[in-house]
Amino acid sequence: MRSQDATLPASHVASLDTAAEAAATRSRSSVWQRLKRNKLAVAGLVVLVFFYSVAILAPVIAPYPYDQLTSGMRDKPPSMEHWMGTDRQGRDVFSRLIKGGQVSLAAGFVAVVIVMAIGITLGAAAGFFGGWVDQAVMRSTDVLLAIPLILLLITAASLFSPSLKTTIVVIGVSSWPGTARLVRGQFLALKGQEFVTAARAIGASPVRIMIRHLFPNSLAIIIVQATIWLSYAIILEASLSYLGLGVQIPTPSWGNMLQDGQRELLFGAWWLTLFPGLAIFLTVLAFNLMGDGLRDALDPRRRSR
Amino acid sequence: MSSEMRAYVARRVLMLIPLLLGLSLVMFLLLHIAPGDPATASMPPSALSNPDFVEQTRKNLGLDKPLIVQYGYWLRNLVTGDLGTAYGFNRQPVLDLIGQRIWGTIQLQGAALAISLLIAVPVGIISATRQYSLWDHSVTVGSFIGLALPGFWLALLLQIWLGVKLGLFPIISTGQANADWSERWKYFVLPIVVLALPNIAYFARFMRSSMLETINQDYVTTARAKGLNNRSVLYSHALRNALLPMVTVVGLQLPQILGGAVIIEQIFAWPGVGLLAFDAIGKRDYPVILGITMVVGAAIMITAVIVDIVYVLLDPRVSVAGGSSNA
Repeated sequence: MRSQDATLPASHVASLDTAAEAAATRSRSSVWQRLKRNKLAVAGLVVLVFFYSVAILAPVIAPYPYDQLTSGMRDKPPSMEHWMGTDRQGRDVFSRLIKGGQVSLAAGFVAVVIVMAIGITLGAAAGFFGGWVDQAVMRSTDVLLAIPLILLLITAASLFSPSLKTTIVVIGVSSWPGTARLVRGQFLALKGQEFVTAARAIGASPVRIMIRHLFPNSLAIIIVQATIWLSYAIILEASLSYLGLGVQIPTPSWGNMLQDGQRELLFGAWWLTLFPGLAIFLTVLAFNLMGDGLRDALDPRRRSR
Repeated sequence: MSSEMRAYVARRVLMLIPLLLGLSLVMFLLLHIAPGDPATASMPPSALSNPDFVEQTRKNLGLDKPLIVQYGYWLRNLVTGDLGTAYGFNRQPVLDLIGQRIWGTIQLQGAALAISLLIAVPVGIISATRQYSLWDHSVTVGSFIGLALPGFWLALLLQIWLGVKLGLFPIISTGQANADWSERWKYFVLPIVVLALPNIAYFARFMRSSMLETINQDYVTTARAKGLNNRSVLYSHALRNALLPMVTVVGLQLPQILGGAVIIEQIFAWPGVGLLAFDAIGKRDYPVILGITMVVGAAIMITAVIVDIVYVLLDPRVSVAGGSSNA
């Protein structure tokens, strides 16, 4: 698709922009065709659509309020009334799992939006402008990548009082280096191509070149990266909440439900930890399958593996 | 080693100094802009009501000085190889604290990494040589599962089923360091399983695609065309080149490996650096947190440099002439 762009007559900026968009649309439809053929990726997509729909419709689907305490219903195993049993306070685990999913999926989504916004902006600037901008961004990524992410997250989350908001912000602002490097590499590779030189020759501003030409042509790689990060962010949120440093009870999240239920596991109440754990596992698995399928679909030269 | 190579190594090693300084500055600022006071973090309530005592504690810890002065002191000590003194932990030197714990982490992580590679490399090779066989499909599915299982959840399940229900393995590692090896190995089993599983999944997948890529290269086809038997083509021609990228992958996994240590050591109460970090963070023991970050950061940065150098040495196609840093 890039080479097609390059051979188009560069009469004026607008036609070049349209051409870039047309190429992007064209490749989008064929990407969808290829993705549809990958059964595992489709399965991942179906699971994700299902989980996100349930999360969005949580108030409608949940049979009980997630924080409703029922005396005399402590630690009851799954039954017809309570599909996934009840917890120590007699709350309905199924309702909490749905609400927790809403929290975990939303937290992951917002965190990834922050990661992508910072990563793409800094990576784009580094790749396009080069020089000291590039040096500054790359050396910052060197420094941040030298601290294990989870150690950084645990430190930051426990220093600033743990909460849903802290978790999202902390994941968002410390996880961008990988994305920045990726986008930088992509911009660096594209910058020298003919269609960019053509756009430059007819006087397109740097911002216009980045937004209308470089960004659309990097979109594929960015989407794959975002998919992968959505699954990382959910694992990271769950780990922090499991350690008591993330989302705080009474707000449920899949991670803090695991923490809340682990003591009961010793007394045989397996339903408190099995279901939230499964939910995390299935979400992450679905994202990985989708991400893998997307990567193959976006890059036809890559053999499907 | 050529002169180009020597210059490259020198450049990479020198670059570590500003990077480590940057790392210390980031962590120092992060710790000190955070709300809360480490002087009062682990004080009993009775002491809190005595402002003179609080003030004296702050003074003893050096927290009454301006930030820039504190950082200056810390840097000056660092140059002499001193990472400072812990606020808590009986006010031991940070370096001693890390020294007492680092062996525990190295033993556990080293064993987990070795086992991961011993399993993942053959599994990946067999998958590649029998592409799309039942074995290959099972490995693909298995590695997706291995990568998606949350470590702490798996740890929890293993602790309950294998530890509590069946009583096969201890679930908490306190005291394991003094046990005899005939008993001690049991403490390693559960943490190693949890640590190794995602690594096996990741390494096996990588080994498989690396091997597949090599098998399809022209020189392998040539070796086959010459009439060499399949075995010798695979193991003497293809394998060596397929293993090369593994060096990088394993080296670059180090941050994840050390990060995993924090959570897994906490879950199993494993006496390592990860658990020390977790305790120090809870007590706002800034010198210990800073010290661990510096040691871990240095280990990761140095590994990255070594990986790059080893790669250049092993692969004659990679040139260092005029190459910039690892950007």
